[in-house]
Amino acid sequence: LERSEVLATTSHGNAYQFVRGQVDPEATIIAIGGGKGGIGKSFVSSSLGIFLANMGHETYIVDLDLGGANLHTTLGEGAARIGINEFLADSSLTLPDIAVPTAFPNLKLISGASEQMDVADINDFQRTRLMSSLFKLKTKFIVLDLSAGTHHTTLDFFLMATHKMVVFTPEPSSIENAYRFLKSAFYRKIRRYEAQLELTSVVNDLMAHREKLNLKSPADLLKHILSRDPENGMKLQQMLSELNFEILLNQVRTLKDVDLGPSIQGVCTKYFGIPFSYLGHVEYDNAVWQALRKRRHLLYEYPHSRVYAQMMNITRRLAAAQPRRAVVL
Amino acid sequence: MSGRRADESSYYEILEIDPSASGREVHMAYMRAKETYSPESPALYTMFTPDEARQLLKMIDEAFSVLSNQMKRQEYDLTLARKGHPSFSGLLKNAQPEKLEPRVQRAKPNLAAAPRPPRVELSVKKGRC
Repeated sequence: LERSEVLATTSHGNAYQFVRGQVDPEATIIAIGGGKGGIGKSFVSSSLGIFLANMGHETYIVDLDLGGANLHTTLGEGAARIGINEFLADSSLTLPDIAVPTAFPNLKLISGASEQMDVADINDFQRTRLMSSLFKLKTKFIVLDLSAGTHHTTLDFFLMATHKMVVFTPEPSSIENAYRFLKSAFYRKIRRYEAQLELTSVVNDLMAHREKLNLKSPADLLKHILSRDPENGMKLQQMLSELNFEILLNQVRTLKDVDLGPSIQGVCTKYFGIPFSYLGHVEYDNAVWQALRKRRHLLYEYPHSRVYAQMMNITRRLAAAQPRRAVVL
Repeated sequence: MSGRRADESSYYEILEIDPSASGREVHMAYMRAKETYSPESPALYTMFTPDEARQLLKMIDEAFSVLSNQMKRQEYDLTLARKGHPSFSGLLKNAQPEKLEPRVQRAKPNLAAAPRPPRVELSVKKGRC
């Protein structure tokens, strides 16, 4: 597949060399998304970054919540004087140029904080340059802290990652938003793949008759594509199976909440028709905001908490997993 | 959830288990699925309507009733093999249906005929511990 051809020209008509597509990223990229604000994405991102760095891995943590960047505060750091905004404005800058060291050895922060009001609206060219730079960044791990919502930029950063982690909390609004986030990401990926596999007409035809065909979920859509075009349908199914979304349940309060994680995994698998992984749960702990108020990270302020152990186990699982090819485009 | 999917998914897929799953694994998967697709489960929110969840529960009960019964499961596996299911293709190649042995043949001990072990009387010494 000539994946690089698909996005070879941006909306600006600028042609440039892509390093994405079938090219593996230099680092293992972990993206943390979730659809809703306040569910602990920044806490999970910062904890992963600290633990990975503490394990001896050179790690970059990138604040991609460009409209409301505050990862530096979660890490107990001050606002960085340079960040993504400067990188986007000056094409001579590289990501290591804008990365600032943190109090944690091996951990560097690429801040998204900016006084500029329109930094959240980056164009296609800027987005692709940033993604390509992340792919080329020579390090062991990159942790991407994504913004809430289902903006295309957020979805693209999520889909470029080796590990695509979705954070849920047991609240219905969080579950609803996380499902919406997953659906948006899934359909964005299908749209990309169907063009490569020349399945656009098949998908459009199926979607036009979805009521008649009783298409209610992506799993139904995949089955119909398979029956219409078995060869390309199999390829599409294989490519989608490699997405391997990972689920983390945060702010768990009761034993019943604990059971919710595997249930969400089961529902997602059945609904989307592709495998999902469940990474585990992290309990709700008042110590998180108490540490935040002190502007110190929980992992250093309360190292004997259960949250510490739970986050460490999740990080170990991710660090031990064999890096899979990140499929982009 | 459409009826079509009920026809196409195997009972193993419905319970999300491997075809070689043990009886205990079948039971555990059934309990988990019942919990997941119960009407009050928050995991279903916005993904499946109550009607779809009811249909799923019906399919889950049906799958469990077959897979938890040794004879029914054996017959079902043969049906899947005849339909060309890749996980069961070996069943038709290696054995004739009428000669198939039950999946698990464990000799049940005849407890009535077996000699009873001598009764051990527990004696407690009185005194200070």
